[in-house]
Amino acid sequence: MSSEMASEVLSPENGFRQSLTMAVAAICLECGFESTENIVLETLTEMLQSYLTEVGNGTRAYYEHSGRTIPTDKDVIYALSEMGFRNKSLLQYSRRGKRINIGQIVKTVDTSNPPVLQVGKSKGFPTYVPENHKYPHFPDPHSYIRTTTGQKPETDYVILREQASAQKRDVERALTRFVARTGRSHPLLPDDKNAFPLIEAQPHLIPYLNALLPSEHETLKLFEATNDQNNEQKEPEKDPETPSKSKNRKLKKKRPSNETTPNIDAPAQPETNTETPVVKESQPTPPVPSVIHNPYLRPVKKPKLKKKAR
Amino acid sequence: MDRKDKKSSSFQRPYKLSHQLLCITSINFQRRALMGYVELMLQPKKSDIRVIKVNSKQSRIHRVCVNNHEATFQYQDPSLDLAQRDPKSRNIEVLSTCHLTAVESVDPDTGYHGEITIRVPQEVSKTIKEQKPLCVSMDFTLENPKGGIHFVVPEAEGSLKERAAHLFTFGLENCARLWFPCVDTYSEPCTWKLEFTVEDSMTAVSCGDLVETVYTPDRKRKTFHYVLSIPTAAPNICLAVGPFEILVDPNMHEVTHFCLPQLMPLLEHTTETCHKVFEFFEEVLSFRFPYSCYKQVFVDEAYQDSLPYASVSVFSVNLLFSKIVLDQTPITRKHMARALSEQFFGCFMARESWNDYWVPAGIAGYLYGLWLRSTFGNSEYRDWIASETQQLCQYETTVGPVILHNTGKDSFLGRHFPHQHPHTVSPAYYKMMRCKSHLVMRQIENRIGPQLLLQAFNKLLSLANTSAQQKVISSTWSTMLLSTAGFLKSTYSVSGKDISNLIDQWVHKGGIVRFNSKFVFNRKRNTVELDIKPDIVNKGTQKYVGPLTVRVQELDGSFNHTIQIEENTTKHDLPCHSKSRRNKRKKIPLLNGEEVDMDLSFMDPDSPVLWIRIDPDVNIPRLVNFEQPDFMWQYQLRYERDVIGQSEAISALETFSTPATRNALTDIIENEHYYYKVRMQACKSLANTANAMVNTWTGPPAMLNLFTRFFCCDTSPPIVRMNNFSNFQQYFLQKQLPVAMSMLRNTHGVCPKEILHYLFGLIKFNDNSKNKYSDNYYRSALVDALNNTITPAVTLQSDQKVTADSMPMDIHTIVDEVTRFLNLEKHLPSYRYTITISCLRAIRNLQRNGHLPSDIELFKSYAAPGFFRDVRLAAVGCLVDVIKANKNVDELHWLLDLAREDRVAEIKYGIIRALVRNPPFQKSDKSLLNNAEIVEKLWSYINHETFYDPRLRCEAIDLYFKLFGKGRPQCLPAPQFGVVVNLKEKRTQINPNTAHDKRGYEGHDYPRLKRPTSMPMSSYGEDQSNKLTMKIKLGGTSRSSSLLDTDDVLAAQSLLSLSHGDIPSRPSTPGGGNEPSSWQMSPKFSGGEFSLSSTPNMMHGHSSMPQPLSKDKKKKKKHKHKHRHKRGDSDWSSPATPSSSVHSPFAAVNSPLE
Repeated sequence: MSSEMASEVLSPENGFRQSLTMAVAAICLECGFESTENIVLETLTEMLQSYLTEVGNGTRAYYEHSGRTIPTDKDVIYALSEMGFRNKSLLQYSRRGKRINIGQIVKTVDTSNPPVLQVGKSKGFPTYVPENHKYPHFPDPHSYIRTTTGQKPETDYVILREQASAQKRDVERALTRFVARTGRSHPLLPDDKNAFPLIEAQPHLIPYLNALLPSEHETLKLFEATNDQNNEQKEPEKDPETPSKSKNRKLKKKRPSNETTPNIDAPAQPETNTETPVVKESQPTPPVPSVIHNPYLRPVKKPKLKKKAR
Repeated sequence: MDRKDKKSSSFQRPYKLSHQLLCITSINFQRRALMGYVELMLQPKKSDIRVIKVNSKQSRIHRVCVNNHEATFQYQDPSLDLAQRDPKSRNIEVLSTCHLTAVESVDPDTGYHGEITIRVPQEVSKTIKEQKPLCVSMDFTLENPKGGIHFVVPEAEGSLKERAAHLFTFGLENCARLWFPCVDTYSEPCTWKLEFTVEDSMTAVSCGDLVETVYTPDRKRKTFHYVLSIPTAAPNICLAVGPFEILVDPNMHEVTHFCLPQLMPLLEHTTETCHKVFEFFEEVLSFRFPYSCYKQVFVDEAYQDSLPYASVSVFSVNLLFSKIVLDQTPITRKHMARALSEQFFGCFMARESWNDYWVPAGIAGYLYGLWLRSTFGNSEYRDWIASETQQLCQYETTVGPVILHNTGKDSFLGRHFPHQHPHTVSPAYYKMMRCKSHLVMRQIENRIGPQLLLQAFNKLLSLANTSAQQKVISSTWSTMLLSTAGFLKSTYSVSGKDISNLIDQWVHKGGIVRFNSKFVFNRKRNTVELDIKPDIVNKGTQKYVGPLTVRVQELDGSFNHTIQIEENTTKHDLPCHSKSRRNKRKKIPLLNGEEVDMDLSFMDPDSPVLWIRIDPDVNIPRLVNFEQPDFMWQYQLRYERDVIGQSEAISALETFSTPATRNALTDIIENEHYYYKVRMQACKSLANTANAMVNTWTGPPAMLNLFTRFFCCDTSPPIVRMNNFSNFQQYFLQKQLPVAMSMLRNTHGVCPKEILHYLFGLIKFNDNSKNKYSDNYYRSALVDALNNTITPAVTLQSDQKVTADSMPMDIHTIVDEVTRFLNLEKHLPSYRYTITISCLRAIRNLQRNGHLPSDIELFKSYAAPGFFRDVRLAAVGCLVDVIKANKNVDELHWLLDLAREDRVAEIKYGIIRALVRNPPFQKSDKSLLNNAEIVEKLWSYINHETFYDPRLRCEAIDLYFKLFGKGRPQCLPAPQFGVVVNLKEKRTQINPNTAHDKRGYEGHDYPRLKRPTSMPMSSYGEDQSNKLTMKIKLGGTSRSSSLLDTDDVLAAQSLLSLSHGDIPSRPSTPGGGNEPSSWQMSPKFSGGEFSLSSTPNMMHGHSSMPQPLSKDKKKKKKHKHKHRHKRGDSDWSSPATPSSSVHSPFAAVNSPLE
């Protein structure tokens, strides 16, 4: 049976598995079982495999921890004992009486990995290491010596801009095309539907919200900008007056041109002076707002009728 | 016609309104309905008042009481169906005249008129005799109103608050009657108590002081109590209810701003500078803001961008903007300032009559101008004045004169609409009236001086304020009204100067002044011989006699000359001060005292004159066509320091496409000291110049290097710098330059490849990541630029399939960019969807030029409800263009249906306006669109469907005029068999077949009628071939007999024997244009007699309960038809009483025409 299997099974995994199954079956026989159901056998195999895998993992943890790449027998022992296995019982087990030979384990075809590509020349051992050492050879130098890879980051402004814009456009194009393809779309060319698909216009319930509120990435930018501004403004120690003032200055965008043009307008000049006689009676409330008296902020009164009823 | 002269002086309302209570007891947003009552406190002035007339439209009145005694009333509104007397006439002049008659017959300003006539109960007559006050109370409901008040209820999930459902009132001039019964005129101010009960989540904003807010007993709703103690007219009362977020102005706590949910950050930013405007106006007028509080409400689907009411201004939500938006900032601030100036003049002080409208409008506009100058600078102000003047001149010379105070009898003056009433004037005319008003006010300022004018304003305000303080009803309240005479008196008493000649010329008369002028320099006498010829022949011009400033810039400086324009002389000698060019290398002083070096080599060596300007300060509304050599224009452009002069020079130089012009324009664009609008104008002009001299142009395309120098990286020129809009002037230039460049054309008439690729580069490298401001306007300008480069496709074969591969490379790229921009907007919308709008226009342009197949569905999908207003309007504009190009009848119907059905007033108006701007066909076109169905549709649209919005109706009249001209539309079949009544000639005849009657209309040699006709008949010539006759419908004649004067009645009666009663219709003829002269008599009748003559059907009790809707409608139709023959004129409209109508009273208005 096994030979039949062997011919079929070529991959190492299946081969291992098969050997494990055989080993489990042998152990069962040793223990006195005569027959087993397939599923039981399979379960036991699975358990054994898990156990062995765990042992393997533990072993590796030990040897890697001690800075080696190849396990020693001590590592295995540690790993086993870590899993609660009494190492002494191993010796007893090996010396047990009736032992069933499971025969030759199927040799799987060694799908040998292609030889590791040697990169660079591995370092030799230092002179103080005796000739008959058992240490593994040094790995390829690139695995532990830092070498610079790739080109230098681009610093040319033109190329950077070019790349940035190309990237941005690609992203935008990909996004819009994706949405247009996946969602409902309206072809600009009825004869060539894929050429310029327009995303179908979706009516909004409250259309002005999207139109007026700045989108997220814009507000984020604004937030950063105001943060910068605030930092700048904190230095001269001025309070809420300043933002509006600075805003105002910006809005008087025609001012510079004014300086050249308006002076001709002789009649206008004196007038602007006269327009500002001091009538400060309407000066808004003093700068320190105490309590805002506004009818819209007042609490809603209780109904009078109700009081009467009581 | 003499009625007009009488109306202002002799007419007096028999009572005085002292106080009004308006109480809205419940508002139902789902059903778009509200319920409430009003109480009018009247002080009788006569002892024999038998009827009380008030205005009300749309609302259903359930019960009327006079001093707690129930009263009967009747309802009659001719504006519901204008052309009743002539239902088959399709002549716009007939309709316009009927329109005027209809609105005047219910206008409380033109007589004792009103839609509702209340019969005073017997019990009260004693009170009237004793002249004791009367209290008229009326219960009303309003359901699904179409005008006057607007419910915005988005059909989303969630509560009303989440959906931002709100309502607000609106209207053109006096439209208050559309939402509550009142005396709807500005001339009847009274004090107010306003109560609004709304849901708990809502806020009711209205005029006056909010006294208290009280819960209803069930605690689910609350009542807002407002008191307005300053006498105010009903049209200035407003209401806005919604789940508003409330912002108390941090600088002035008496100012409150309201916006819809989620918009608070925008509101805070938008209203940041509001208090400065307050300070400015209060300082300038040295007068405190008249109301104790001020409220600004921002609502969706607004009627127009801003609408001022007493102590409240209602703005469109679209005016809100965030910190990152640039272009909107000045626009919104201007709207807010204008609205505030109208609080003083327009709300606090209202006009007395429509003729006096120019006074408040002019003062408010003038004050706004002062604010503009102080805030945005003198250049902006002067530019505004110049552009307003130009618009006015443009309008008057193309459409007709604008008359501010109408004293004449002719109501048309060659136009197609009468101007005697705010509800009959074309919206464009209305706008021009506002424009002219403030220009006239500026003229008055020039005449009496700015300080004295402000003193006059102050005086008016102070007087008004004093009388407003008086609590008892008094006649002094009339000082709160502004009239032409009162204003003149006030200015006279302040300044001692008589300005009546100025008023005569510019207020009482229409028209602008037009000069054709040139000059010769007389070397011997060292004078400039100026020749100024006034042009009084063209339309919209008038003769001007008086002073005119001429400014001559000479080598030695700038000199003003004032010349007198007289009737016969056109020659004027202006002595020159400088000897020509004696001393070289001397700096030349300019007007502002600056001294500059000039390269004088281009100049005429004999003449010291650098340039001449006529009326440099635009003191009168004028068009000047001045001829001077190109080098003088160039000097003017370079060295004139006044923006008006600069922009005049730019437009003049368009005809001189020479290298020197090119240099001058380039220098202007480069120079950052110039005003940015001048530079933008220069960009456009340079593009035109370059196109004109395309064969001799050397060097790279115009402005390419300029843009590169200003905005591209120094090291790598074709790449544009990352956006930085902190220099606003450069920002505007950056926006303008690509657009101007894209207008360039090479010798083949297409845009040079170089430019196109440059534009592609700009789009590609546009990077806004480090910019403080949004670049949406810039990007949309780039799309516009791409749009401009499109030229018609070379091969245009209709059957050829357009595919991406068959497109030229450049077009492919353009389409690709436009597609990308448009698609991106779906996920990253720009402010106000500016880019979407540009993209839609670009797509339409590509279609128009044959690069893309016409696609109407695309634009239809964007024109549908649920899109942002601007997008919808842009899509409508594109649709109109498609319809025009493809002659698409169905789509025109679709659009007209949308104009009828849409919920948003502004969209309806926008659709009609788009059609007016770009009419799909002209009167004489043999277009598929030019058919009878369209005529009918538009006719019924004007005639009765748009009764609720005068602005819409008047715009539709404009459209009708544009499409079909003044006469009967040519596409209509000629009237067939029938009796011919030639109303003009006052004769009847039988006309068996008029279809081939080619006789001229004027050719009939009939006795002239005795009534004078004012209709210009010239336009009828074209229609003569078709229909010269008019059939009279029997029923129609008899029912309207009470309105006709006796001649008409006799004429009609003579027909009775000739025709049978069941002739169904009465198509009209051009002759119908005359008919209104009798029709106009109707106010007298309806004012005095109709109530007595009307049948009992009109007298409705109040008590009967509403009946089931369906049944009732049917009933009503029958009801109406029956009465058409029996009753007199009273079926102008359906009665608005519950006994006959459950729905709005207008539900069945169409029925007689169906």
